[in-house]
Amino acid sequence: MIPEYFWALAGVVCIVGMLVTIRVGTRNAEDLSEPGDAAEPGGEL
Amino acid sequence: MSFQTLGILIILVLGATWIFAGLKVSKKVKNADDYLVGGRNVGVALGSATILATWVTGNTILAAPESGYTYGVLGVLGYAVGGGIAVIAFAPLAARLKEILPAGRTVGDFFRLRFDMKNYWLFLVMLLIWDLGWLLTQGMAAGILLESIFGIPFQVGVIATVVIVLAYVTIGGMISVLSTDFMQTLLIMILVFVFPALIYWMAGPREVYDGMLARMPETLRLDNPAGLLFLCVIPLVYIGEVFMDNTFWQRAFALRKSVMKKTFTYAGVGWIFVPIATGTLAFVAVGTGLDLPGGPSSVAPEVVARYAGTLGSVLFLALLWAALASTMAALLNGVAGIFMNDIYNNLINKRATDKQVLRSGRAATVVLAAITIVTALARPTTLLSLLIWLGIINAAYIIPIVSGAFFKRTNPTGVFISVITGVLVGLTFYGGGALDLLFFQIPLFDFPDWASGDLQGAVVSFTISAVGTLVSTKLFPRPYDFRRMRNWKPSSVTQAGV
Repeated sequence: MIPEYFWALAGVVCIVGMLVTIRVGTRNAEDLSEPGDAAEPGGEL
Repeated sequence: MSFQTLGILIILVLGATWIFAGLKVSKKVKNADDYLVGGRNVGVALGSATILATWVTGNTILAAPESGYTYGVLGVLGYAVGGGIAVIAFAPLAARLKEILPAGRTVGDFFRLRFDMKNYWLFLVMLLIWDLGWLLTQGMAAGILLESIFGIPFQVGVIATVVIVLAYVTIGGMISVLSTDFMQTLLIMILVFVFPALIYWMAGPREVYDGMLARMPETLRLDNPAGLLFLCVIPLVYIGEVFMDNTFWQRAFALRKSVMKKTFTYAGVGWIFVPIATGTLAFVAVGTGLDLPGGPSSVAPEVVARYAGTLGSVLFLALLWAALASTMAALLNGVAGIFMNDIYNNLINKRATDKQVLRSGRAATVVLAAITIVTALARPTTLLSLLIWLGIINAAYIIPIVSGAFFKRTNPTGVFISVITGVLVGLTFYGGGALDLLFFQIPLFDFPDWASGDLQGAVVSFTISAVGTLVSTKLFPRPYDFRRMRNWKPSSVTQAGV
């Protein structure tokens, strides 16, 4: 195998791993929002 | 009017416009929060514009074509997709940050509250190295640009650029940066799409393609090994940059929570087209066999000077200078934020009033600008080599930041050991077996060629820190209560009774 292909594949695995970690994090994260949070004032553009 | 006078005139007109805009909005700056996070009420349009203006740097205009010249089509794709993915990947993190740390001002706040002091100091040191490196490169790029296109002495170019940016950042902080970013983004987006069309119209797309096929056919191949490596690994470097960069954290804190994901996604998608547009300029050089006396990094200015004439060069200067100035402004404000919030308010004067913190931020901005001028005038290294070296540090922080923001059992000691190990081993792969500390190397091993390289260093650094962080969290979980961060207020705000 050409070394560059091996490292390229490793790079793809790292990126996919990171995206999966973020996905798992967003799904399982503890919800900290409170009732007042929804009433966000309108503001700048 | 001479060409040089015209160049100076453009810089003065653009600079005066931005200083005027900065002055106009500076009255809105009432406290440190306004200075650092623009009042925390920024919407989609202004938010996307400021993210774009910050992320379109001098590198996007100069290094994207260089990637295209070196790695061909895959180089341009890698540059564009990598940078775009990084901003889009930050969107869910930004939304989470707004939820867990609503009163946050800097990335330092997160590290201090979420982990422990050893992680906090390690991160601040790494961050300052990275930020100062970036400021230095933007200052150098400004000097090189004005020198190569208009023959303005390098020193004059560096000083003039830094002083103009300093003027509007010191006066209005983040609010000034936001208002000028909007104008700068409009200018960048108009020019960046006009240029490739104009150049290809002048050079002839058919001639460019045939020339590429005849001279460097590998630039058109999609299985080019070096190009594939760049395409698949460079996103790690960019994602690490965005996740560590305080300017992105400030924008996350500045935006309204409801528009967070949309704003970062729009900015990331919009950004992708900028390096694609500038990167394709390199193909004209390849296809026409254009001589590059200044090396591959000068490919964009050389192509513009050859095909766009005087007017084209002037417009190109305006584009590049807008990109440089907006990035430098955001960085100055971002690093000053770290100083006023994390060093002054949390270390030097914990009982500081909001006015004192604000004053320290302005003083820090002036000092940083002076450091930028002094270091840039020395021209210590090249842009690309510094960026890839710094990318190894960036890659090591991706999973620790994600894990710390989303998982409540992340082990701080595991993070600390993983980051240090990842960075050190990554720098050793970068140096081919010698620990590469930029100014000197410490020989340790003798790695074979296939196992060493700059981009390989980023893969190794990311892998070690990710595995170390996640495994230590699984084996030795340390529960954390996110309400501690959510209920936290900066001490200057507490002092002021806000």
